[in-house]
Amino acid sequence: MVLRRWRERHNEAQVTLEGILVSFIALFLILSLVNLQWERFYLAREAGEGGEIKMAGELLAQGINTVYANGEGFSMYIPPDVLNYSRMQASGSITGLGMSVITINTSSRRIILSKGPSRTGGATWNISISIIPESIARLNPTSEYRETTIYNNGTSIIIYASSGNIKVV
Amino acid sequence: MRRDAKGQVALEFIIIVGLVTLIVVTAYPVLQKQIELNKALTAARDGAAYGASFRGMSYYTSGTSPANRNPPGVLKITKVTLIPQGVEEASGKTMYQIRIDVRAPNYLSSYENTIEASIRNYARSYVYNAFNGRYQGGFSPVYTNYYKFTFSANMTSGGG
Repeated sequence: MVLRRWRERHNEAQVTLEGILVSFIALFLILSLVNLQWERFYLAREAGEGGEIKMAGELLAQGINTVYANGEGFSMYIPPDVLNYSRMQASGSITGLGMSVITINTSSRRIILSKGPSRTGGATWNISISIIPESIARLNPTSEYRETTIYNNGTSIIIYASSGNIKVV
Repeated sequence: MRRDAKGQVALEFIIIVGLVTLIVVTAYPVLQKQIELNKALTAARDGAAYGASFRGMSYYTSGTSPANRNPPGVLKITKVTLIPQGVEEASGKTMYQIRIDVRAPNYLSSYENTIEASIRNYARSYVYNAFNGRYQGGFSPVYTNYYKFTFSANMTSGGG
C-alpha cells in the first residue's frame, strides 16, 4: 500500500528520456558556442588594451609637449582617474591592461610603453611616441606636486611620479 | 500491468536512438576532421586580426630595429585561405597552408616583410594555442591530430 502510494506520487514530474537527451544536446551546443565566444572576447579585449595603452602614452606626450611649449613655471596635473597606473599595470583583471613601467628615453626623445604578450603566447609589444623636449627628469610626488604633475622649471621638464610608474633614462 | 505501461520508452524511439547513435559513431572521425579544420581556420583568422590590429597601431616587438617600426595605419585582413599541400609522408597527416591576405595603405609598403611576419606569427600562435596550449615561440608548423598547418601572409598596398 505504502509502496503503491510512493510510486504514484513519484510517477509524476519524472524527467523523460527524451528530455534528458535534448538537454544534453542543447548543453553541448551551448558550451561549444561559449568556448568560441570566449576566444573572441579575449581577442577584442587585448586589442582594446593595446589601444588604451597607446592613448595613455599619447596623453602623457601631449602633456609634456604642452608644458614645454608654455615655458617656465607652467605645470599640468593629470589626475589618477585619467592616468591610473595601478589599474593599467594590473594584469588578469577585466580592467587591467598588463602595462609595464612607462619609460621616457631622453636621448631618442620618446616615450616607450610596453604591454605583456598575448594570452596565447608570443612576444611583448612596445610602442614609442615622440616628444619634443630632451631635458626631462622624474621626481617623487610631493604634497605640492601630486602624481602626475608635469612642471617646466625653465631648464627641464620635471615629471612628478613614482619610479614604479615612470622612469626616465 | 497498467502501472507498467506508463513511462515506457517506445520501440520506435529505441530504434531511432540506436540509428542516430550508429550514424554519429560512424561519422565521428569525419566530423572530427572537419571540426579540426574549422577550428584552425577560425583561430588563424583571430590571430591574424590580433597581429594586424597591434601592427596597425604601430606596436612593435622587442628587438625590432627602429627602421622596421611602422607608423600607424589600417591593416585589413581581406582573405584567409586553406591551400592543400598534399600528405606528409613521415606523419601521414594532410598538409595545409593557411594563407592570409592583408591590404595596407601605400605608405606602409616598405614595412611589408615585418608586417607579414607579425600576422603570420600571430596566426601560428593562435592555431597552436587552439590545439596545444600556450605558444612558446618558434616558426615550426602546427601539428594537430589529422593535419599539419603552415602559414603565409601576403600584403598588398594601395591607396592611403
